[in-house]
Amino acid sequence: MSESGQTPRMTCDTFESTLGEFLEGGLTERERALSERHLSGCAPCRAMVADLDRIVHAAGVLPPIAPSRDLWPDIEARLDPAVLRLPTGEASTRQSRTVSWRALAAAAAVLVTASAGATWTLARNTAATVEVPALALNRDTVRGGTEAADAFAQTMATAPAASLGPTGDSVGEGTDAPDRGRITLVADRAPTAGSVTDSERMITMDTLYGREIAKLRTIAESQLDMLDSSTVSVVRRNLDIIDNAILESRAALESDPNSGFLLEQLDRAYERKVDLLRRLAFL
Amino acid sequence: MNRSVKYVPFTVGLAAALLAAPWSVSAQSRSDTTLSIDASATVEISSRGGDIRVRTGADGRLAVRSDGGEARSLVSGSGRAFRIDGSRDRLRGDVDLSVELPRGTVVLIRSHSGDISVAGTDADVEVRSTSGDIAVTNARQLRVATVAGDIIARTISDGVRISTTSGDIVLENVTGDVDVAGTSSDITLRDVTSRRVQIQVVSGDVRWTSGFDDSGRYEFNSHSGEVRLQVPANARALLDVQSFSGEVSTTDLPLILLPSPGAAQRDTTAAEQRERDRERSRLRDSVRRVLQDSMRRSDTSRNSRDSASWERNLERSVSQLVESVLSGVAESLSSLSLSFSDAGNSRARRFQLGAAGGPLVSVSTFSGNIVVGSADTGSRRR
Repeated sequence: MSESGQTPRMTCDTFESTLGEFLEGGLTERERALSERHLSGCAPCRAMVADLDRIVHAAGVLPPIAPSRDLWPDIEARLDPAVLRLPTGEASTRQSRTVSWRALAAAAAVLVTASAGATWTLARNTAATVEVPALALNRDTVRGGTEAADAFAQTMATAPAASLGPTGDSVGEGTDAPDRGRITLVADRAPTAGSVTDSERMITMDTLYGREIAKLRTIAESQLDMLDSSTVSVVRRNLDIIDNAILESRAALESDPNSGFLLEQLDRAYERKVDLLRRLAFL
Repeated sequence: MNRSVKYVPFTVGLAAALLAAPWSVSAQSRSDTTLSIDASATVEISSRGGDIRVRTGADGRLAVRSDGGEARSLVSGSGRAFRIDGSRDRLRGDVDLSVELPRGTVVLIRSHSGDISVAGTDADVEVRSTSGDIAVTNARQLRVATVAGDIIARTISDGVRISTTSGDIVLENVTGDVDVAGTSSDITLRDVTSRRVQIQVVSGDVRWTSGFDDSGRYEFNSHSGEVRLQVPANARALLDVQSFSGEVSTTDLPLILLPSPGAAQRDTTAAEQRERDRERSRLRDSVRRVLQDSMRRSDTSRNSRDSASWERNLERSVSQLVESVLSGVAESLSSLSLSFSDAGNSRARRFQLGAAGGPLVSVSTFSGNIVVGSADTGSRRR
């Protein structure tokens, strides 16, 4: 971090434009350092981040929502050109310091993409032993979900409640690297062989589950005092068992990185963890 | 009315006793109420820490006994929908509830830490709880989501779905889809008649003592626990087995290793070819014997064992299996033990269990062992 002294200052607009990635830990070290430096000197941005954190947590404690119909086909259709256009850099010239609908959508999408993606991956993994996970990332994409967030935001924006935001508003991170940080929700019903390696999928899985687990864990921890001590120790013991299974699967994957089976084992362990934390969070 | 509440601590293994004697919990502050209820109604019962016991009684009658609290004040609703809230009396703590309702009543239970039993409703039962034992008998469809506590379900006619973390699970005499997920739970399934079974656990053991339906799909996964399949002697299945460091073995049933799906075929030299031909004729006899026995056993009801088509089927199966065995990795073993522990060895192995064909049964573990044997042997050993 010592070289960050040389780096230029970040404006509020730039900060906000990379906010989604910042919240999800998707920025490079340098970008993150820049963002943090900006945050430390900018009270309005700090307040906004605090707000978003609260929203994410509040959303986490909502009861599970069972949609009255399957919305996925609709969403999928909208995603269809899987990669959305990024805006050119200067599209965002808003001065407002309130939390924008885009930021809200980004926060919501953190929750939505993590759980939907992970669940979908699992569903497809368990459907047949030879299938590959459906959630594919482009290269060097562990960085963030702003596109997915934007896709979600756009879906929201084109929904009947148009007041959420102007549909024509260009969304995205702007600036200089149009191909960077692009998460692609690929509906690859027919797996595209070779496009994504297993280790990339492992990273994807770690990222997706990691986000959800981090959020659920915070909520779950706060719920533990509602439980009697013996249940709490059962919970902790079982979390250890699952973590151990995750570690074992990951270590095995290091030695056999192309094993779809081991990836699936890792996925199953993660799913158990999410399931346990979710049960605690929704007590 | 004396409203002092006596907290009845729950004890491990209480579930069975609760079923046997639903009204037996003693307390001075007991209170009863009886209401009329429609057929096929839904009763939602909630409690934070009290025990909940549900059994069936006369048609048209909903009887609630609360052990602590005034029973009538805990019940709301009418006709086809009732709610009984044992956690209502918050200042005084939770009450134990005993509920008698007509057969055919749907029961939904939300509880925190009490023991729960539901007996004889012949309707759907759903339980969401955190800890405490759960016992359900004679229900239609059962759904359970909990964290800790043992779960026993007997005679369920339309499927079971359980998500838990710890506490053992026993399912007996279940028909319909079965989907069970746990972390450290040992899972025992006996007499399951199902075409869709999915069992997933992290450190617990899985023991399946049931047959397979030819049109079914079965998946068993434990990370570090043992998966033991005990099947009828005439069972047949395509067994996909996969493990990182576990071993697969069979106690008494013939398993024939088939070429793995997608396994690369090796080129053979002339010498290997001659060796293979000798092996082929030797194998043909033994495979034929095994298959014939197995197919006879599984075909007893069809009375077709001597027909020409049966013979053709047998010959085809024999050839298929012999070629499979010869074409690579294969062994034909009636007592087999195979280790997956070599690095990079965790690819799927496919076995033919019994006669050719049958449903796909996937068994996978990370480090747990996989054991296949006949149900008879298993029960003798228990």
